[in-house]
Amino acid sequence: MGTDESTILRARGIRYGFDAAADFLGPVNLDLKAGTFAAIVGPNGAGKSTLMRLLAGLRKPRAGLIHLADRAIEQMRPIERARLLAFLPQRPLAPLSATVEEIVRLGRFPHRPLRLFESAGDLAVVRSVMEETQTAGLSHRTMETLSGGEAQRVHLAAALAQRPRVLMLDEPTADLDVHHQIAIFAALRDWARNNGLAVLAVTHDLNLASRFCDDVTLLDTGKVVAQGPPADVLTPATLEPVYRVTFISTRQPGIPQPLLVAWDVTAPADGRPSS
Amino acid sequence: MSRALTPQRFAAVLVVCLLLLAAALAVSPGIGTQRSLVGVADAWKAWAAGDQYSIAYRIGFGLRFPRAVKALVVGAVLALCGAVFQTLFRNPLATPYTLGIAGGASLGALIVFQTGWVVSVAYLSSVTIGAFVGAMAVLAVVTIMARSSARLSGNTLLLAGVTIGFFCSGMMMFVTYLADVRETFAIVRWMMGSLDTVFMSELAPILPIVIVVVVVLLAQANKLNQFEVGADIAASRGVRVERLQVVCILLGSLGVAAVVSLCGPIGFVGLIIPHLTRLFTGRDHRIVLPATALLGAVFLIGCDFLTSLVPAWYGHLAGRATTAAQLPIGVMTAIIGTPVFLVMLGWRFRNANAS
Repeated sequence: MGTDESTILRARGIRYGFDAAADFLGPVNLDLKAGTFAAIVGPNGAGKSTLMRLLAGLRKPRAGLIHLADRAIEQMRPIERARLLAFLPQRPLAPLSATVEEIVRLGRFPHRPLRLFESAGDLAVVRSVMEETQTAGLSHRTMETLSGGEAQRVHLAAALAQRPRVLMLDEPTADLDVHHQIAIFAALRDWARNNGLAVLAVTHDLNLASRFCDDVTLLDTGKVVAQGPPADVLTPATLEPVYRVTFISTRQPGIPQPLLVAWDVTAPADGRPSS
Repeated sequence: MSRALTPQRFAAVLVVCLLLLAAALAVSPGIGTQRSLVGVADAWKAWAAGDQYSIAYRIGFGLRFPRAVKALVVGAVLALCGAVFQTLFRNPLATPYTLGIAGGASLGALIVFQTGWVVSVAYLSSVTIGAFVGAMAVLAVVTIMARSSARLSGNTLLLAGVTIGFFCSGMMMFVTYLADVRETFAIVRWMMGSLDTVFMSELAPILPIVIVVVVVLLAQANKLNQFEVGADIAASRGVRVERLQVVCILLGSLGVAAVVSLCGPIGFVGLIIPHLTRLFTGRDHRIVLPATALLGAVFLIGCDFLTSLVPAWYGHLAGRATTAAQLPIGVMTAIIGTPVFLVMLGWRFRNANAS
């Protein structure tokens, strides 16, 4: 795991637990580099969302260090952290009567905590992220009139309006159809490449992760099972014991990655072998 | 109306609200139970002449205008707290009373009144102190209950608050039951809400509290906008969410306790005025909070006018002299507020369907 200067977020020995299981999560090491798109995958309850909240500075780990732009994240004021790191939870609330532009403007808050109104500079950023996310045409629509895919683009625009160097998303394609799933992942990869953003997404879609991501962390019951390029991590051999499912890996001409199809359950959900 | 807030629209809405408030205050010296005696013009003429001993001046500016100022303070605080609580608990039914705080304040004030306990701390009367102690006791119980479930959860707080509100109502009925006929009459009247100067502390000692509450709550507008899209997003954008919740709940309770100690539990303002305001201003708290405070003030001043005008009109129709009667303000806010609110809801519903 390299620690060159393009690393924006560096996590070492992160541990976290709940009352019943104080040592549930970790130790986790993770680096996010500028211009790359990383994913956290794993079964339900593996601790993916919890890990992401720890990395985003929203919860304090029991042990370990997280450095964001070479500063310890827990020593940063929340507002300073928010200028470097944007986080999009799984199902953001949106006041139904709010307009798209109002929601996107909210993303400028970390840059204007004491000013009542957005400056011309803020509005320019809002306009440009709305162009990038193809939400400019929706600006006066209210949130209740949007489809799931449109609403997700609006929330992405708001996160990008923070002009962060790290963007974290918890299941950005949950509830979306296949078209929007691919569009969102492609857009995330492009923003990472073109703007030097470090993107980290929690996802359940192994093929999307394999196709668009540069780095994958596979998590199971709080422990890192495998970490690295998708070609190394997302193989039937590593996935089958974690998901307790058999995988079929096929190759298609013209597609560099093998395609993964989850096929048969090998053990019931409680972990006992079925045969 | 569905466009993002601009400084121009912010200023325009505030100017309209301020003009409404100015108009309400301007006519206030001319409206009251002694209508036949002193009209608006008489009162202002006496004011212009500086004739402080004339009847017109003493009625207009000794009795009526202070009532309007009191209505202004009470209406503004209740409406503002309602707007803040509705966002904080993500519940359109939340009001300053939903948390049981007003119930606690009323019970505290009532107990002090009944026991005849007289003490004064920092110019605050014993009734005010009783209301504060009652409100804070309720708040403490609610917070301890909510804390036991790890994090401040809106629904837990609301459930606890509503339940404690019932407890306070029961206790108030208990105290009332023990009172004699004359006391019972006074208590029941007080619980209907009143802006009279009898049986309550003066406005001045609680004014500093109210000003702090209003200023600090108004200053949370940007953070409440963030909170509205989710506690997680707000936290990720640099809002200290728990601090925001604690500040809003504490100061909201303080403001409500102050107002209840002044004039008894006046319902409804905190529920409907924020909703009415949002119909005109959209949902951005930067404009909703100041506008709702101003319109709450206008609404309560208007209701106070009606408390003295309606009996007079009734007397006129019935051919009986009722000019001295004055209805409790709590009666008027509900009787006027409900139809106005329902009409507005229907109006918005039609507009939403038409567009």
